[in-house]
Order: sequence, then C-alpha cells, then structure tokens
Amino acid sequence: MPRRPTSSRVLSSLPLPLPLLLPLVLVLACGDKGGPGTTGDGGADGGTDGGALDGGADGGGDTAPPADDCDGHAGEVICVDAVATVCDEAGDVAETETCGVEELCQEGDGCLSCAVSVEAGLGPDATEAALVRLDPAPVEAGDWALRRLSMRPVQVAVDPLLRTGSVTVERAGEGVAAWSEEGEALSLPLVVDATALPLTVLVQGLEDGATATLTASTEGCGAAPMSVELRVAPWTALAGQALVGFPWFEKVRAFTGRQSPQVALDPALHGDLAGRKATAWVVAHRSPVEWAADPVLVDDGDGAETVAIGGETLVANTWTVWATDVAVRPGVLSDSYDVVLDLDGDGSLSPGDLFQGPGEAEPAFYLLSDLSRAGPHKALSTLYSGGLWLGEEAYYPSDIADLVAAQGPRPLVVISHGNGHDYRWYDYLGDHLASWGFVVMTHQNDTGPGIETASETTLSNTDYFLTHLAEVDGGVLDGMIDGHRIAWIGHSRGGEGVARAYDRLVTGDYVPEAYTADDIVLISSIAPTVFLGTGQSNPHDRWYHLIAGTADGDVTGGPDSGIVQYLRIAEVAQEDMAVTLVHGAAHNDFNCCGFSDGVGPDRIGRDEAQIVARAVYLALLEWVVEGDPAPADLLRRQFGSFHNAGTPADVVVANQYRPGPARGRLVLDDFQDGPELEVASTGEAVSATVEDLAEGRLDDADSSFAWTGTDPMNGMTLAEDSDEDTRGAVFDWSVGSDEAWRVAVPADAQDLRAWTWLSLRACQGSRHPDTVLLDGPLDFAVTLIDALGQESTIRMDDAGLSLTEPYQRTSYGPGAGWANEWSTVRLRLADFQAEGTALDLSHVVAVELRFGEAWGAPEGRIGLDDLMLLSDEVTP
Amino acid sequence: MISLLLLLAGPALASPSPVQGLVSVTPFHLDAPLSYRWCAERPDIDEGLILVLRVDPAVARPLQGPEAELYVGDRPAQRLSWSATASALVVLVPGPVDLARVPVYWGPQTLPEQVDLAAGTAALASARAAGIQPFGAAQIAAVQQPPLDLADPVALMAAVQPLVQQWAPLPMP
Repeated sequence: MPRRPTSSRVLSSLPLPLPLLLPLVLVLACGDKGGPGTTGDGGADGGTDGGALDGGADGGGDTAPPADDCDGHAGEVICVDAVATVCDEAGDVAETETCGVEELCQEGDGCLSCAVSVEAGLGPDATEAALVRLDPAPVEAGDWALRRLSMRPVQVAVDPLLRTGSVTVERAGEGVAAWSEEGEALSLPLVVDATALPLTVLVQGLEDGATATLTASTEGCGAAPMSVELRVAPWTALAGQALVGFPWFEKVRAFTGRQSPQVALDPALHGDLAGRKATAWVVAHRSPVEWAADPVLVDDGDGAETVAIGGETLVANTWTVWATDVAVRPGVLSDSYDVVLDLDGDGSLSPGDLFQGPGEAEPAFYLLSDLSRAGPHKALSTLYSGGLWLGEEAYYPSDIADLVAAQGPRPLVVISHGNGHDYRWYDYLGDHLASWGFVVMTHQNDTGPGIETASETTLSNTDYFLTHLAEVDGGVLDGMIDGHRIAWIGHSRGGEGVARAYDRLVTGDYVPEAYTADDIVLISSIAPTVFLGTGQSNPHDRWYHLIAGTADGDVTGGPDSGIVQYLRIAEVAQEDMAVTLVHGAAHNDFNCCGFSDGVGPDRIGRDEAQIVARAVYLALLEWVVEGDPAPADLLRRQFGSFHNAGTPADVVVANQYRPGPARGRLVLDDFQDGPELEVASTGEAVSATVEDLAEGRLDDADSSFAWTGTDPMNGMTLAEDSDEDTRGAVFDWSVGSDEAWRVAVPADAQDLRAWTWLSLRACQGSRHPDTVLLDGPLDFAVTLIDALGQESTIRMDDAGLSLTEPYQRTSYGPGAGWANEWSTVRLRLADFQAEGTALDLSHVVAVELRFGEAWGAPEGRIGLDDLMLLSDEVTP
Repeated sequence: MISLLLLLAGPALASPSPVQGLVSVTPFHLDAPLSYRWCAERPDIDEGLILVLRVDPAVARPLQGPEAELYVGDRPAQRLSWSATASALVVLVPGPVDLARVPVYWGPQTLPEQVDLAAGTAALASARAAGIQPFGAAQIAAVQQPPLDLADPVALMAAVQPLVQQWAPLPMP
C-alpha cells in the first residue's frame, strides 16, 4: 500500500468537490493543539481506535518499530500509537511514519489528515460574516420542507477516508438554532462520528442582529478547530426596479407589461456572497406544498441567467431578470412569480439559495395585465323593471354558472347614476367588470328631488335585485350572487347618494330586506356632490374610494361652494380611503352620454378617462372585494411611478391612499391636535426653518383660488362645515435657501423596525408665487435621524416620486391652478439603510423633511398632512 | 349649508324667472296614488298635470350641484325629461292646480326634497313680486290635451315616455 505524502494529504482529502470549493474567509479559533513542533494536548486521548496522537511526539519523522509489529500483518498498514507501519508481504516492517500533529493514524490507510473544514458558502471576496435569515417562528414537522430553505447550510467535513475519530461541533453565541437536514433539532455541542461526515448543519436565525460562531474540531487532532461566523438579519425583497439615486433600488410587488422586473442584492446585507456567481430564476409562483413537492427550477421569464455578485454598490448588484416579452397569460388579471438566486447551481431550490416568494405570504411579484382591457368572460346585459324607480340593467359573465362552480357566488356591484343621467349610460363599466367575472346592476336613480331620494333608490334597488334574482333574465343569476359582498358606486348626486345610503344603514333609518350594512364592503363615488354635509353623507367605516376629474365643469371642486368640494366625503372615511384625481377629465367623461362639461386645458376626453376608470375600478374591486392583492399598488403607489399599462401617456393622476387605523399605523403628526406650530399632534416637538409655516383647517377661506397672502389655506377643499376638522400644515421656501421641517418621534415609538413604510400626504399650494415660479412637479427629501445623530436621506426625485403641479385651470381669481391636489408619498423604511448606510432604525428620534435646491425643488409651497408609520398589510 | 350658486355651464340665472312658453297640458288621474317626492311633505297625489314647456336649454340643463328648479305655484314640479340640450322640458305638476292662476317659473336652487310649504310659499311670493304672470286661459286651452286616466304611477310614467321622446330625449349609447 503506497504511503501518502504528508504534505499533500490534507489538500487532497478535503471533502468538497473542487468546483464548489471556493476560497473561504474564515475566522479561525486557534486552539491549544498547535502545529508541528508544538506540544500537543498533554497525552493521547485514547478515545479513538488507532487515532491517538502520541502526546510527546513532535509530529514528524520515522522511528524504529518494535521488531514484531508486523507479525500477522503481512501486506498491511497498521497503526501503533501514532505511528503508521507498512508491513511487507513477509510480515516485516517495510517503513514507518509518525503521524503529524494534524494527522491521525488509521488502520489500512496510515496517516490521514484529521483537519476539519467548515464551509458556509462565503464568496471569495466576502466582506461580511455568513448571513442567516431571520426566521424565528417555531418549526413544525409539517413545514420542514420549506422552512429548511430559509436556513443557512454549514457543512462540516473531514478527509473522506477518515473513519476513525469524531468531530465536535460547538456554537458560541445565541440567537440561532441548529438543525439536521432531516429536520431534527441539534443540541450543541454535538459529537459526530467521523463516519457520519460530512454533516450539514442548517442554521436558523432566531434573533435579529444576533451573531454566533460555529466551530468544529476533531477529537484528538492537533489541527486547529475551524469556525464560521454567522449573523442574523431579515432578508429583504429581491424583486424591484432600479432608481436613479439613493436608495438605488425600490422593492416593488407588481410590474406592468411595460416594465422589466429586476432583482438586486444589497452588498451591505449580502457581503458574505461577494465574488460568487448565481443563476437568477423567475419561476411561476408555487404554493408551499408545490415547492416542497417539486423544488426544480424552471424559468418562466425569458430564461435563467448567470449573475455575478460583487461590487460595493446596489447598482453593481442589480440585474434585469426578465427583459423581453414581458407579458401576462391571456385572459388573466395577473401572473405571480417567485424569484430564486440559485447559489449552489444545482438547478433546484435548496438551502443556501436566496429567494423571494416560496413559503412567503406573497409571491415575489405580480405581473399585471392591462386592467382597462376586457377580461376573459363574455359580458351579457339585460334590461328589466320592477316598477317605479326600479328600472335596472344587469351585466354578468355569460359563463357565470361555471364561474360560480369554480369560485363561488360572485360579488355584486351596484351603480347609481347622477342627476340628469341614465342608468343605461354605464356600459363601459358594466361590460368591463362583467368580463372579469363581476355582476353589475345599474338602476334608475331618483336624484332630481335630492340626495335622500337618491339614497332611497340605491337602497331599494339593491334590495329589489337581490330579492328578484329568479325573475331577472330568466333566473340566470339566481343563486349566483354573493349578497355579502356588495360594492356601491355612485356618480355625482348618486355619488353622494351611496354615502348617504350607507349612513342610513348605519343609523337604522333604512332596514333592507336582503342585506345589511356589513354586506356593503366598498363604497366609491365619482365626483360626488356634498349637499347634506358629511354628517349625513358619510361612509363611516367602509372602504371608501373617490375618483374625479380636475376639468369637471359640474361638480367642480371649486372654492365657492362646499357642495362641489367632493374631497370632503373622503376625509371623513374612518378606515381605508383612496382618491384618484385625473387631470383633464370632465364630469361626464365618466358616463357615455352626458353633455360636454369640461373646463380647463389639456382635457383628456371620455375615451381616456374611461380607460383610467376601468383600470381603477377593476383594481379596486379585485383588491377590496375579491381579496386579490395583485393590483393593490395601482391605488397605493404614486401614479408617476406605477400605473396601468394601458393608460395613455398624457394622463396625469394624483393618488392618495390612507389605510385605516385597523391596519396598524402610528401617526407622527396629523395636525389634528396641538395647534402650536412647534408641537406635533403627538405632543412631540416640531422645529422648522421653512417660511410662512401655518396650521389650520384645510379649508379655503374665500371663494377664490387667487393667492392673496391673507389665506394660508388657499386652494384647500377638504373641509367646509364647522364639524369638518381636517387639519394640516402649509409652508414654503424660496430660491437660494434650503429649509427643513422636523418632527420628533415619541420615545416609545423610536424602534421603527416593526413598521414598513413612512407615509405622508402633500400637495402643492395652488397659485402661490413659489408654485408659479416652480411651474412643474415638486420634490423634496425625507431624512431619518437616529439617537446617535446619524441620518439617512431619500430624495423624492431619486425615488421617482413627485407632487403634481396643480391642474392649470383658470377662473375664481387671477392666475392658473385648480384646487390643491393631494398625493400620498410612501418610503420604505428599510431603504434608508441601503448599502449599509449607518442609521439605527431601532432608535430613530426624528423625521425631517428638507426643501430647497439641495434637496429637490428650489422653491415651492406645499400642504402637509398625515405623517405616519405603516405596516405592509395588503389584505383588505 | 347650501349656498346659492350661479349656473356653472350656462348663462347666469336671475331667480325667479319665467319659462319661455307652454307647449302642452295633459291632466292625469291615478287610481293608485303617486308618492310625490319633489317636496318635503311627500304627499300622495292622485291627480295633476303633465306639462311640456318651452325653456332655455342652458337654464334647463340638469346639473349635479344646485340647479335651476322649476316651480309651479308654491311647489317644485317633478322633472320628467333630462335632456341637456332640448329647448323643451316635460314636468309633472301635482294637482289640483289652475295654471291660469299660478305662475310657472324658475325658482330657488334648493333641492326639491327640502322645499316645504313655507319655502314654496316664499318662492311663489318672490315670483309674483318679480312680475311673473301665469299663462293665459286661452293659451292654456289652446294646448290642452285629453286627460289620462291611469291605474298607477307606473302607467303614468309609461304614458309620459312618448312626450319625453318627442320633446326632450336623452342620448343613449
């Protein structure tokens, strides 16, 4: 048996295949077992058969064996203490070798390296310890197949020939747990027989920010123990799109067919992988059960691609993973995808890979179809009447029976028209929604006398429809309607009527036969009037949406009458609220046939307004009524950064979205309390260098949009009656100065890690001299400041967010600019730490808004409101 | 709070103001009453008049906000036609009413469902003070149509439809 050269023995016996053997950046824990020439551990441990080192040996050189050692061992390699003896065929000693300190003598093989290797997949240029995903939930037996995927594999190995001895695996530090590949919890320290190696330890991250060390050492071996350092942190989403400035990448949950999904790794978080390559896969979303059953990766984009992880910036670690033919399957609203970075290159989802989607609450991203296009179902409609003010038209999918069999009864959408309108004027919505599986009923709406009668016809027609399904179109809808999921949409006086109708349900003023207030799950108004005031026209705790056009020549949104200031109704919504304000859309653009009422420049016309409306309503109904989160971002994100693929390029929309308190939010300042300029509504301190700072009711004080300097709330149309107390702040800044507005974060709320978003709403001040000078979209910057004074700033322009210029409509005083247009700005809190920016999110003491040329618009006038922290709950 | 508002899409209306003419008068009688919702009291009525009037379309154009409301005497008339462009308007007047004694006019822009007897009386007083005169008896007689005896409000609305289609149809898709 040939003798193995000592010097090469360790290298050649390493357990890992060379392609996977990358240079490791390890922190070595030096033990007492030194190298050759050093004193060992004070004596052979005698614990392994033939593996004991002679404690006094220096680890090298031949010694003369006893003369009879090879008796009975002709042709064998034997071990006598730490000496390997080669016996010739005559049974004589042919040669001997004293095993070195880092060797064990094994019968039949002689001296073998006993050094242990610990490998955690670090990249050759790694700058960080191995990242372990924070995943602290208890592991149940039933979900092991997926839970293991989030764990960091650490492989412990010795020379594959080594059958003697054992390896001890130890852990230093808390905040992690160790598991075997079979799903057994490992109690460390753990002694593993050499024959059971290589061993893969799956490390679970239990505590955010924890650090730990896994160390392995071979018993009785003089080789140094090997270790790997670990750190626990949550993974961030992979899918998103690049930004032109800090934070350089925006995690998004949805794309349209006009966008190319991208994936990015923050080098600050994933510095342990620097220098590695991975294959990026875009995989059609699988359920946890499906992933567990089939982890093989199949690319459903335009082909898997190899990406090189490295560099020091997010820009260098951003890759387009689907560049061509980005499209949704025909006939579906959206497709869902998971993203996998296959690091071990085995073509399957396995521990050690990075991923987004598998086993998580949502897929990595949705790809949305053009929601303004017809859906897969043929829409039918039928006209009928139940008597006076009970004329109705119903729209429904022709295959509704099949649809119901597959999905259950369908939600009902009721459309209540406006004054002088007709219930047969909403084919564009009825047909559209029916083509996507909804049942729509439009009805004669008694708007002439006023809002009470309009509300009555909304209430009575809903009742009539639900109680006469057997008579509508031969009973085709009987048994097909989910009477517990009803959405009311009203236009103009009908838009106020639906809010009044719900109020009457809440107060008990009207008691329906076939449904209750709880069955109304969504109320939406198209440019509603506000005749009765928000004390009576009130959506209360219902999900409330409003859409209107800035060129509305009827319910104008103007300053002279509260009746036309439709945003007042949205302001009193107690729970979720969204507003879609469409530049250049007129009142009767939202029906087929009303007179041309539009006033103002750049009018978009009926076709384009209805493209917007079809997409918005489908998104709203799918999200709120059907519970599909895929299209939610069409309402939650700013239009400028994300909008429906079919929306014409010239359309401008200002979006608001405000989740209700039930979703979980923390208000930093909503200006409802603490009228002092230096005190927030939380009681915390406010400091500001901005000019002309004022707080008050968001109510234009006169009947003009002209800027006079005496009405700080010029252009505000969110409040009118004395019981409407929506309040906010206004201020401005001029060319040549950089200014700021800062609010302190309450001491018991400074750990922002539990929240996902920082949100605020803001608007430009119409016709203010600084707004006129700016003459365009307005940007500023948002800064978080921690207890150590470290700060991180995101500029809105870099993040693709801007406040729209007020629609340049004239009248009600000199100048151009219509009512102030509020937009919601949302910034992901984790983005403030992009690329390792030194900001402690667990101790944020202040939020500062910065204005001026250094931060965005060189001058401007804004309204500010609803600065708050939000969770990421998407479920309606 | 409802504020008086100038018309948004047409010429300014100085309330009260007369209509431009009388086209037809059709008395009706119902066996089953109509709940008249165009005034605060919501009386049940079983008789009245269907009028076709000559109007300025810019004034008669239906709006969402406060709009010109047509009064006959001391109460709003129920609008039956909703054309935004027609120069004729079809309305229902709850009866009994003597057109030769009460004026027909554009009155306050109050929502009809909020107009009670007191408000209606005040509106009539304003119209009289503005010098708005009733139609003459001969003018009424010249356009008088045969009365309609109908079973119920549904039948009435069906009977009115030809007038609406003739004089002030709505555009349809």
